[in-house]
Amino acid sequence: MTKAKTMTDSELDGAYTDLCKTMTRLGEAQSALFLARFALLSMVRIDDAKEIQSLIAEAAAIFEKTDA
Amino acid sequence: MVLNKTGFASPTCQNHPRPLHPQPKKGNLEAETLFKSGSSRGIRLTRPSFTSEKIVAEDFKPYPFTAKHYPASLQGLGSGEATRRHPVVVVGGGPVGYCTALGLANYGVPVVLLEADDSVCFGSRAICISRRSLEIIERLGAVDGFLKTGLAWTGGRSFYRDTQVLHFKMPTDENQKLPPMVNLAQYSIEQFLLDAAEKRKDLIDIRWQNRLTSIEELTDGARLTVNTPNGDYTMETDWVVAADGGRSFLRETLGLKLQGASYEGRYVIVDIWLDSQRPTERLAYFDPACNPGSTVLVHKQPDNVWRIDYQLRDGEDPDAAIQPENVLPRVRALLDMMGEKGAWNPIWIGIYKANALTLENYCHKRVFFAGDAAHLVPIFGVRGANSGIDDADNLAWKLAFVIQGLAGEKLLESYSLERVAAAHENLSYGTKSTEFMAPPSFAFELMRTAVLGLAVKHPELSSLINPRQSSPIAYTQSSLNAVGSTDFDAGPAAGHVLQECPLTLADPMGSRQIHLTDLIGPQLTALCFTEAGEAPAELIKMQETMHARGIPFGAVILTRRPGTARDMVQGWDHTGRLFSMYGAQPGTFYLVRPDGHVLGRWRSLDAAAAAAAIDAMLQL
Ligand SMILES: Cc1cc2nc3c(=O)[nH]c(=O)nc-3n(C[C@H](O)[C@H](O)[C@H](O)COP(=O)(O)OP(=O)(O)OC[C@H]3O[C@@H](n4cnc5c(N)ncnc54)[C@H](O)[C@@H]3O)c2cc1C
Repeated sequence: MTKAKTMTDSELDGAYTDLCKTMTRLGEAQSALFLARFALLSMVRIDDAKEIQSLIAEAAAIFEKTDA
Repeated sequence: MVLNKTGFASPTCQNHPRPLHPQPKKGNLEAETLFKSGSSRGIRLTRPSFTSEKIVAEDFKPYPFTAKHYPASLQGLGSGEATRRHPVVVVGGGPVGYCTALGLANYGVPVVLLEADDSVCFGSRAICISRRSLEIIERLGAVDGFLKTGLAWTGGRSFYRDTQVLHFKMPTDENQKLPPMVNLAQYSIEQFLLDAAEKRKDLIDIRWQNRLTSIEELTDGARLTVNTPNGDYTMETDWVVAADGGRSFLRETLGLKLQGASYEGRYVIVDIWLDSQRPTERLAYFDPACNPGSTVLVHKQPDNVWRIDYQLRDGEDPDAAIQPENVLPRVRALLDMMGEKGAWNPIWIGIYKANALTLENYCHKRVFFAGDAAHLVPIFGVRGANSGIDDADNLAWKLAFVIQGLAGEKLLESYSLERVAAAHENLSYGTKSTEFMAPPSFAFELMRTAVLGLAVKHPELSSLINPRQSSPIAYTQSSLNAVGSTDFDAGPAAGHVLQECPLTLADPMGSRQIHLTDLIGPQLTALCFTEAGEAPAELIKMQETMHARGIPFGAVILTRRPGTARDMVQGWDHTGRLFSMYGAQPGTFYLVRPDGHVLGRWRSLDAAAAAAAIDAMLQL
């Protein structure tokens, strides 16, 4: 990403905990849909198709890695 | 129940859910279940009772430490007790009780310390002591053993499966006198504090095997009933410090409740003896090959004792989990994974469950709660004993000032306000560490897996893995803080602890190297920044006035250029770093509380404002 980082470590920490707690409250069965909605909202906020494409590839990378 | 040095099961150090003694000694709420070798007391364990032949060599070994056992103190049973009234009784001889007693002794206040047990604690508890605690312990005259025996360390590494995902460093630089952390077993921590307390026999009366069994609150004090092996006695005291640990009798009997959260996740805690040259650092393994799905922590302690903590899997039975036949294969698999080839033996096995709890007020009439009696902080982040030592440091000077008539009783309210706020801060860090170490729900677990998998390529995420080790806490909201000047561009503001810096002490006997915190004694300290040591007349007058009022007060002159020693203590900023670190010019003035927190600071000395800040603090 080219944008300078403005979020502090403790803000990131707070955001992370907030996400975990929200997902806990919604329950495991809803978590995939919750994360999908969060991803969509993030996409429109990121507003950059190329950036989104590279984030998708990176998020998928661990699943596509072969052990060979 | 635990295995003692002779290999006999002994119910010494902690509370067992099904205790063998009606009143187990050395209360420890957190280490709730301990390895049981069998259902009856005193089963001989010359060799652990597991079956696998491969484990036979791994016999239990005793700790490399022999605790002295003290006979019961029968002093209270003597006829003198009925006619005497004590200024303070400290209940509990754990780290916090000793630090409180030593702190009070520094002001010349006599203390009776009641300890139910007959020795320092046994087993694995606190092992990491922070720089801030060392600074306090140095003021209590007990730091030498901590530094000589303790293992200093500065950072650690975390792994996800076989990949290193974090290498953290705790703040340390050339200005520091003390290491950011030392590892030392709690039995040694207590022993070194006890050694220092025994040197103050003139003021500290330690009563072993004296258990407080009831308290009657009087308008201006308390009447205590104490049980000894030779019978009960009562004593009267003006003030009581409840440092009686996680299962505090005083908290219970006064009907006070801890508030907060308890976590379900359990950790097995194993001390082993291991022949290894590995350096001292904190090692964390997430989902390691040796223990898939679990989190494992490894810490080195002195004398080749290593502490291993690992998380139990969901649904694992804690009673079964601590049996050697289940523990030792996991330890061996871990050592294999780490590439440790040296000989090893188990020493001790226990189990831990995290709590994040505190009282909302630490002052209850004439009783003050401190340490685990006041709050239970999760072990991840090592804030338990460390925060209790800060409680003791905060309470001791305030109580001493009140007992000596130098301050009004209102000063004591600030103990609770400051330390409850600190506990909340410690709990919030401790909670975050716990949620990462032992995720409390599927969501925390899922997100942690995501963080661990991404952190190598995205170091921006690695702060989420950082264990948030204990760090000094500022009393930013304290009512004691003086407004002072607000236009400083550097340095500790009111409520913060001092920043360390080397200095050269001007001494007629020859100058020598010291550090700034060496100048903080059991008194209010005025740091006056000057060009070359010219003490302002106002400062000299202020010191005289304070001394005339009996207030322990010491002025320290700090100089930009080397000066010649005069009447006042004088330190030269030979590195040139002190002045800029404190945003100081000649004339700048800091007032420092006896616990090393800044009371107020001024761009230039304003003796009237400083005196007003002291009066406001003393609440007369
Ligand atoms: C597994 C584990 C690991 C830990 N690791 C760390 C760490 O690395 N760093 C850290 O800072 N903290 C750590 N802690 C926390 C630390 O051990 C405690 O916070 C610390 O011991 C609290 O000290 P204390 O003096 O308040 O209480 P305690 O140490 O519990 O002492 C209380 C004393 O009071 C006595 N007592 C109790 N009732 C009475 C009575 N009625 N009359 C007279 N005496 C009585 C007891 O016998 C005991 O000696 C850990 C804890 C555990 C369990």
